[in-house]
Amino acid sequence: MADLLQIFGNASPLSPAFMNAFQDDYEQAFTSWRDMITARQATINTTGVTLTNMLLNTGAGADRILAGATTAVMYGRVFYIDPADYTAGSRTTQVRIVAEAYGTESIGLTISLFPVATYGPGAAGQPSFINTLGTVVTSVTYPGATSGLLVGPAVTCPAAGHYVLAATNSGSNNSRCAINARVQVREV
Amino acid sequence: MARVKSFVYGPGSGTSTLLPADLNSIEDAYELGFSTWKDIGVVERHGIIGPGSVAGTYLLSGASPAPALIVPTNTQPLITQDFEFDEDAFLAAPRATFIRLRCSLFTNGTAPGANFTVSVYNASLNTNGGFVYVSSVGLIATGPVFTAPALNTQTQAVSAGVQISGGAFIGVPLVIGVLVSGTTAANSQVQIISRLQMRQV
Repeated sequence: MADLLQIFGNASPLSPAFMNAFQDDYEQAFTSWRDMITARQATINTTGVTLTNMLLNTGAGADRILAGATTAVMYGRVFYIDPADYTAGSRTTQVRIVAEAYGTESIGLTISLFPVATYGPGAAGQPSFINTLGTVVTSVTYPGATSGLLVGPAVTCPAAGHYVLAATNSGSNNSRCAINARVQVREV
Repeated sequence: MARVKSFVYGPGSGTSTLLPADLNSIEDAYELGFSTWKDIGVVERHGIIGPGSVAGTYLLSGASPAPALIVPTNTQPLITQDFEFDEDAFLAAPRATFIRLRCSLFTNGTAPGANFTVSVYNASLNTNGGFVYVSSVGLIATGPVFTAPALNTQTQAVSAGVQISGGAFIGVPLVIGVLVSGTTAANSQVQIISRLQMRQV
C-alpha cells in the first residue's frame, strides 16, 4: 500500500471515515502473527507406543528425545517466553503453534507447547537436562492423515518461563514422520 | 482490540467527534506497535561451556549439538555461528532501531565458578586449509551478564537495547559470543541459549 492513507490539506479535511480506516490499518501491526523462535524439528520413528518427543532446532539427533532422558539437554530445545516482551498497553498477547508433519503412514500426532517443570542436574561433568514437562499450553492435533500444515488456535501468552515444543505420537512400529513446528506471537 | 474510538459525524452536519485527546490516544496505541520487542527468531544461538574451559570468548552456534568455539584459537570452521543483520529491513524513520539479546543459562550439579557475559560481536575472518575461521571479534552489544551462577541454576536475562544505525552492520558477519571470566570448574557444564530481538523507538 501507499505510505500514507491520506495526504491532508486545507481542502481535504480529516473525516471520521479516515480516522476509522487509520485505526483499522495500524491494528494489523499488532494482530498479524510474528515468529518467536527458530523452528523446532524431529524425525519420529514410531515404536508402537505413545511417546512425547521434544523437538530440536536442527533435525539431527532429534529422534525420540524424551523428557527425563539425560540426553534431553536444554540447548536447541528450550526457549524463554516473557509476556512482558510483547506487552502493548491493554492488548492481550497471544501465542499459537504452526506445524508441518509428513509421515510414511498416518499416526496419532499432537504437537504441543509445554513449560519445563523440572530439571535434572546431570551427572558430574554432564549437562543438566529437561526432567519433566508441565501442563500443555496449546497444541495442534493431526486429524488422521499425518501430512501438511496445521495452524493452532490462538491462546493467551503463558507466564514467563522456559518452554519446549514436543510431539506426542502413537502408531505402529517403525513408521516415520518428519515434524517442523514453531511458535508465533501477536497482540490483540 | 477494537479501535480506540469509532468516529462518526456529529448531530450537526460536518461536525466531527474528533478531539485532541482522541488523537493522543491513537498515537499512544500505534506507538506500541513499534516499541514492543520482536524476536528475530532465525538468530537463535546456543552453546555449552564444558569443565576446565579457559577464560576467553566463545562463539555460540546454530547447530545442535552445539560446540562452543573459543576465539581466536577456534578449531572448527565457521558454519552455523555467524549471521547477517540487515538494518535496512527494520528501518522505521525517524525512529531508531534497537537490538538486544534474550538469554538463558543452565548449570549442572557443579557451580562453574566464573562469570558469563553474552554479547553480539562482529567477526573478522581468515581462511586456512580451504575453510573460513573467525580470527577475532569486535564487541557491538554487551550483556547480559550472569555472575557466578550457582549449581543447578536455570536463569534468564536480557541485555540493554543497543541502537544500530548508519549501516554499520550491513554486510558484516555477526556472531553471538560468551565471555568466560576464568577457568571453569571440573565437572561443571554450562548451557547458554540466546536469541536476538529488535524494536523501533
